[in-house]
Order: sequence, then C-alpha cells, then structure tokens
Amino acid sequence: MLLQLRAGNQAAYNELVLLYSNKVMNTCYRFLLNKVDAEDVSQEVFIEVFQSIQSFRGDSKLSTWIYQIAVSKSLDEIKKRKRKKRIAAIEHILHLDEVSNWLSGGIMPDQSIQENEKINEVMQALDRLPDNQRVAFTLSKIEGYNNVEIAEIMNTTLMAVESLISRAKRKVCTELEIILKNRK
Amino acid sequence: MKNSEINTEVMSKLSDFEGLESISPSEEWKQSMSIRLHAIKSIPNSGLISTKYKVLVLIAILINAGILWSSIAIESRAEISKKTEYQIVLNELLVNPVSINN
Repeated sequence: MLLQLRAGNQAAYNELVLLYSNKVMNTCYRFLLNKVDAEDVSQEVFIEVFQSIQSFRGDSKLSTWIYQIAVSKSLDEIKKRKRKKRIAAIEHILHLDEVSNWLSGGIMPDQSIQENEKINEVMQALDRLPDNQRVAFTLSKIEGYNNVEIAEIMNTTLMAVESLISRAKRKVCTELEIILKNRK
Repeated sequence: MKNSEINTEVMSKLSDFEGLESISPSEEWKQSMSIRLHAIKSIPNSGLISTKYKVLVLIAILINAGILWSSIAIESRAEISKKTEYQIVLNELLVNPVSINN
C-alpha cells in the first residue's frame, strides 16, 4: 500500500481514507470535543499524510504515523483556540469585542467550542494538563487504542505511558474538584 | 457542598467523558476530502520540486566551473605565448649584438 501511495495511486489514497478516517476523526474529536472542528482537523491530517508520504521512512507502522499526525494536529488546534481565547479576553477588556462581533457577523470565536455542556468541566481540567499527560490520558479513553499503541504513538515506553495515564487521572480529578468547588 | 458530593460529581463527569459517543465521517466529509485530495494531487510534490531545484543548482555550478576552468586555461595559454614571444625577442636581442660584433 505504501508503494502505491508513494506512486500517487488514487485508489490507494481512497482506501487509506476509508481505512483510517473513522479512527482519525474520533481521535481528533476526543481532543477537540467538537464535531465540526474534528472533521476539519481530520481532513488536515489526511492532507498532511499525502503531502509527506514521500518522507515517511517506515520506521514505525503507517497507522502509528497517521495517528501521530492526528494527535499533533489536534494539539495545534487546541493551542490555536487558547490563542483565540486570549485575544477575545483582551478584546473584551478593551471593548473591541463588540467591533469584532459585528465584523464576524455575530459569531464569537469560542462559540463553537461549547458544544457539549456535560463535559465542559472535563475539558477545562484537561486544558490544565501538560501535553504528554493529556495525550496519554485522552488516547487511553478512545476505543481501539491500547497502551502499547499509545507508547508507539508517543514514541515512549509502555511503563512511561502507564505512569503518564495514572498521573493524568489524578490531576484531572484534582482539577475537576477545584473547578466544581469554584462553580458552586 | 460536601466532599463526597464533589467526588461523585467528578466521577460522573469523567464517566460522561469516557462514554462520549463516537462519530463517523459523513458523506459530505468524504466528498470534500476527495475534492481536496484531487486538488493536492494535481500540484507537484514538494519533494520533487526540491529535487528539480537541486538539479538546476548542480547544472549552474557545473557551467560556472566550466567557464572558470576555460578562462584559466586561456589565460595560461596566453601567458605561455607571451613567454615564447619574449623569448624570441630576447633571443633576437642576444643574437643581434653578436651578429653585429661579428
């Protein structure tokens, strides 16, 4: 399949999308917790795969490489959101938000993010984790990923992944407690 | 709010996150993906572009080296011819006084 992809075979491209789109999309969705964003980012993932297929050396499995791209693109999107939030906060302080709201036709930057109210607090808690803990924890919650595969994606050992997941769980619980206490 | 209540809510939030339903690509998504891939395929690969540039740079270097080498060769040939001319003149100058004396 890899040879066919490198040769630019259209059928191989379609097969690749068919094979991995479901898992890639769900990976992005677990990180972003927004369907529209997950769809956009997963398209970016496949575009990156096709653009960089010539440079893929085959050190890891093709699937691992694709999921690595999905994780990194999702983290990039999260960073973009944080930047947007910061800008929105500054605009709010400077009363520029009314201007940008008018310019964007009434859509606020983080309006689409608040899709699932039930897990809003979990998302806030996950935002407070370091990237490696967040990746290990989030992937461990996705059906189809075992710790060995997570270790391959994160390019680390199985023991390190197990440790990251348990630390992340503890931190998420602590952060959730703080968030819920402050909310009440 | 009691700690036990908070713990229960924490567990409930976590189970909500774990039980998040999975999504699947829609037909619309597949179509737009196919269009985007087709558009990308028609654009030459960046790897190939860089290879082309490498070949062009190599050709330019070879041409420059050739020009430089040929100019050096011409200069050295000119120097040799100048030297031989001088030699002839010198010989003439040397020969002539002798012939005059004789």
